[in-house]
Parts: sequence; C-alpha cells; structure tokens
Amino acid sequence: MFPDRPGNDAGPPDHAEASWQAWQVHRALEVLPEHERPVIELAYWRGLSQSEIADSLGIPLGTVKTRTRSALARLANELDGTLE
Amino acid sequence: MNERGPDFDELVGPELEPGERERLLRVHRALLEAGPPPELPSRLGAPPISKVVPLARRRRVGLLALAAALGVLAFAVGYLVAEGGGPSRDRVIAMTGSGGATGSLEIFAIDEAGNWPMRLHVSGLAPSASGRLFELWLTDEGKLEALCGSFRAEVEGTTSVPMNAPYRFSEFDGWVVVEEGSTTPVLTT
Repeated sequence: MFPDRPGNDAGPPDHAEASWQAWQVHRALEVLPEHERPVIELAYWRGLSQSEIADSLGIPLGTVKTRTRSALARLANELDGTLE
Repeated sequence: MNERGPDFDELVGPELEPGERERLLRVHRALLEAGPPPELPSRLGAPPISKVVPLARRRRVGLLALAAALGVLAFAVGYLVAEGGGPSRDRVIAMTGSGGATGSLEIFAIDEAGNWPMRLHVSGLAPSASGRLFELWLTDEGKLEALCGSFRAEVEGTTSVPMNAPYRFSEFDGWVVVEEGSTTPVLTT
C-alpha cells in the first residue's frame, strides 16, 4: 500500500540532480593524469589507506599525498562552478 | 577509511589554507556522493568477470559481423547461380493448346545422377473444372508413356513449375499436358 504522505526519500528531481553530478565527477576524473587518477580511485572506491596505496603502487607515502592533493585540486578546477 | 570514505585530513594534510581546504573538501564530498563509475578501471583489481564480459561482447560482435559477411556472400553466390551460374539450358520445347493456351518447357543440362532438370511455363491455362491436377507426359506414337510431373494451374492462367525427368528423350516422340486421369491433351508439342 502506498503511504498517504510524502516520505523523506529523494524524489525523481533529486535523483536526476545526483546522477548528473555523479556523471560530471566521473567525467572530470578522466582529465587527471595517469599517475594521479589511481590514487583517487584507490582511496575513494577501493577503501585503501594512504599507506596501502603507497604499497599497492610501489611509490613513497609522500608521493601519494602529493598526488592526492594535486588530483583533488585538478578536480576542483575541472568542477569549478558545478559543485555547491 | 571509514563508512564515509577516506579521512579528508589524512588525504590533504593540515597545512592547507582555509579557502583551498574548503574547495578540496567540496570535491571530496562530491567524490563520495558520486561513487565509483559504472565500470571500474582494471587496475583497481576488478573481479575477473568484469574482464571476461567485454571480451565476450567483442567476440559476439565479431561473430555477428562474420555472420553478416557470410550472409552477403551466400546472397551473392545465390544471385550468381540464379543469374547464370546454374545449370545451362539444353533446349526449349514449345507447346500449344486450345483456347490460346501455350506452354514452354525449358530443359537444362542433365545432372550427375542422370536427371533432366526442367521448368514448365504455362499461359492461358485455367485450373481444371474438376479440380484435378495437370500432368506432363512424354509420349510415343500418341500414347502417354512417361510421367514427368504434375501441377496445379494458377487461377490467373500463368503457371511456372520445376520438374525433373530421368528418361532418355530419344526414346520418345513428343510431350503433352493432360488433365489427371485423362488422355486428352490440353497442350501438345
């Protein structure tokens, strides 16, 4: 049976907005240099810590931090005006 | 990393200016909300199935392309056979009948099994009133000797049917078309 009052779930417009923003984020990732993109993907979507990323990629921890910060800055530039 | 994703402070360190920190924090939140792309890059150690599916898709596309190419080739071969690559025509026998009915019997080159492929074309011959079939016979001295095939005439009066005869034509002296069960020709040579 359908509830007789609106729920708190996001409605279709909210889902559309979220999907649109997700698409923009994924597209922005494509502009990252090949050496920066993995650190973002491993951190956010594989759940690896900075140390684990360093081990996984075989690079120093400081390099991981530098690349991560650089990648976030590039994404911020790419997504400028699209993020609230 | 916790349930909300990686620790932002661990990622960027403590020395960022407040403005830059806020800018990167917005990206951090956007990444968390966006989630992973539909197809994760292979370098992230995706399960083997994610590598197999695209390969199978490519194979499927390749097979479809191959099937299409074979279809075109089969059509081309069929066209060439129909247009002149088939058996060569050996002779054409003209036939006439009452009421303006005419016929022509194309006889093609004998095949390896000793059969003569033929095609009978008939015009002006309406279906029999009795509903019976028509028959093509080889005759000798006016008698029906060898049945070559039967057919049902089209209502429009024009009929074209393939037939086959395993006989030595030199043993006969003519052809007739009769109504099934009758010896009266409706078409003769």
